[in-house]
Amino acid sequence: MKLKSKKLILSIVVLSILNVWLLYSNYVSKKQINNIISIQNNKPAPYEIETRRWGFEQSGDKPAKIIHPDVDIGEKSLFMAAFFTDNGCSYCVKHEVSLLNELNDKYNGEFKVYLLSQNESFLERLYGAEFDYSTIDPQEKLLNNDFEFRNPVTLLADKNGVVQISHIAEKDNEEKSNQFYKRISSLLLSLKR
Amino acid sequence: MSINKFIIVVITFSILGCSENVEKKNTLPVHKKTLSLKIEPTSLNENVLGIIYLKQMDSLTIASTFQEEHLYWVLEDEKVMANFGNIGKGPKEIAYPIHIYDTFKRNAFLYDSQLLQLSEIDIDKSMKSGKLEIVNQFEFPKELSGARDVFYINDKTITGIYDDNFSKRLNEKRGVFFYYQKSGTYELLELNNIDLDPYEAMPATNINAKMPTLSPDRKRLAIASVHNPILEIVDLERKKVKEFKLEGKEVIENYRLEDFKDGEATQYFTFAYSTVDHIYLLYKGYSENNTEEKPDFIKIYTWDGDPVGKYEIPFGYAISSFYLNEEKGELTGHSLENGKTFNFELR
Repeated sequence: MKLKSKKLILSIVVLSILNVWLLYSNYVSKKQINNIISIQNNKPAPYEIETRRWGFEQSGDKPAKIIHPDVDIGEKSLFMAAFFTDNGCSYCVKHEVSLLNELNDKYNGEFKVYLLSQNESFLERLYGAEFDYSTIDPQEKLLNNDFEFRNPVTLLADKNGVVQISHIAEKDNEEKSNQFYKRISSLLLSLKR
Repeated sequence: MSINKFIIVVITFSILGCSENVEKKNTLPVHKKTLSLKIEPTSLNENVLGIIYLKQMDSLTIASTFQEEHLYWVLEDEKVMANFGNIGKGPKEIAYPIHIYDTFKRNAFLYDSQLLQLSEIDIDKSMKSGKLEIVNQFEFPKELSGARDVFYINDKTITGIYDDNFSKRLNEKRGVFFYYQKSGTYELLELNNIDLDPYEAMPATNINAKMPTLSPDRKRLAIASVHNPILEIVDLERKKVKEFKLEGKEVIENYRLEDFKDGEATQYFTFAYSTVDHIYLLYKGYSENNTEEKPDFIKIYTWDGDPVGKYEIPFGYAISSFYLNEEKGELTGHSLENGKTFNFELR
C-alpha cells in the first residue's frame, strides 16, 4: 500500500512538471506568434515607408544627406526644397507645379525649388511655374546615396542637410501630393507665427 | 472702273477669300507596270550596330543608332569616318536616342519631344570633337506638346506635324504647325483625320500616323498617311494643302476601335522620301494582322501626283526607311525589323 502511494505521488509530480513545461512552451510560442502579428500590424510612419521604398536611407537606418554643391541649405533650422528633373512623369510635374504655385502665393521665400536640367525654361515654359527656381547641374549627385530620381521630390532637411522628411510625386496618386502639401502648408504657417 | 466691274472684282475676291486651305479631288493614278529591283546587302551593319535611321548629307551617310556611347555614325562609301554624341545629362549630351531625319547645309537637327526643343548640330565640329556641337536651339511653347517630325525651314519658320490626341491643348487632331521663332507664335493647318468609334487617345494617334518628307528646296511637305490611301502636299509658303487620293481606293473617315485594335486596318504608306522632282512612297497595302507573304512596293510620283514608276520589294526584306541617289538610280533601304541595310538598284 505504501509502495503504491509512493508511485502515485511520483506520477503526480512527474505529470505536474510535464504540465508546467507544456504550459511554459505554449506561453513562449504564443509570445512569438504575438510578436510576429504585432510586427505585421505595426505600420511605420508615412515618411518611413517613403524612405524604405525610395532608398533615401544612406546605409542601415541612417538618413540621407543633401550633398549637391549648388544647393544652398542655409542657416535656418529647417530647409525645405522641391527638386525636379526634366524627365519625370509629365502628369506628376504638372500637378506638383500647380501645388507649389499655390504654396508660393502664401509662403513665397519660405521654400526653394531646384531643377536638375540643362534646360532652364522647362518648368516655366512647359508647366507654368510661377515660383522662382534655380537650375542646377544634373550630373552632380543630389544625395549621398545611389538613389536616382526622376519624378518630383520634396525634401525637408535640417541645417546639416540631413533629410528628415521626404515626398516623391507618384503617377495616378494626386491625393498623396495634396495631403503632403497640406501638411507643409500647416507647418510653414506654424513656423511663421 | 464701272460699278458692275467693281462688284465682279469684289465677288471674285470674296470667293477666293472663302476658299478652304484644303484642295481636294486629286487622284494618284495606279502605276501600270511594276519593275523589279536588284538587291545587294551592304557592309553598313558590319561597321555600325543598332541602326535606327539613315540620312544622307552630301556624300555622307549619317546613321542614327541606339548605341548609348556613340549615337551617331558618319560614313562615306560605307566606311566609317567618325562617330559622335552620347546619352547623358551634360550640356552636349541627350537624354535618350533621337534620330536625325533632317539636315540643312552641314547641320543636322535633333528634336527632343520631352523638352519641346529643336537642336541644330554642326556635323563637321561634332565629327572632330565626338560630342554634340550644338549651334542653335529652338524651344516650343507647351501648346505644341504633341509636335513631332519637326523641320527647320528658315530663320523665321519651323514646321512639323503635331498630334494633339494626348496633350489636348489644340484641337485633338493631327495636323501641320508653323512655329515662328522670333515672335514665339504658331499657326495650324488641319490634315485629314480618321475618327475612331469609340474614341481612345492612343489608337486615335496610331490610326492617324503620317509619314512626312520635306522637299529639298524646303518649300513643300509631302505627308503620306499610314492608314488612309491619301497623300497630302503642303505648300509651306501659301500654307495650303493639296490632297491626293489613291486611285481605286476609298478615303476612310471613320473606323471602328475594336477593328483597329485587332490589326485589321490596311497599312498604305509607311515611309516617304522626296527629291527635287519626285516623291517616293513605301507602300504595303495589307493589314497588320496579315499572315500571307506579300511584297512591299516603292511607288514614285511627281510632286503633281503623276505616276513615274513602281518597284517591288520581295517579301522578307521589311524595309522601314530609305534614301536614294536618284542620278545613279541607287536606293539604300534599312530594315528596323531585321536590323539590316540593303542597296537596291532601280532598273
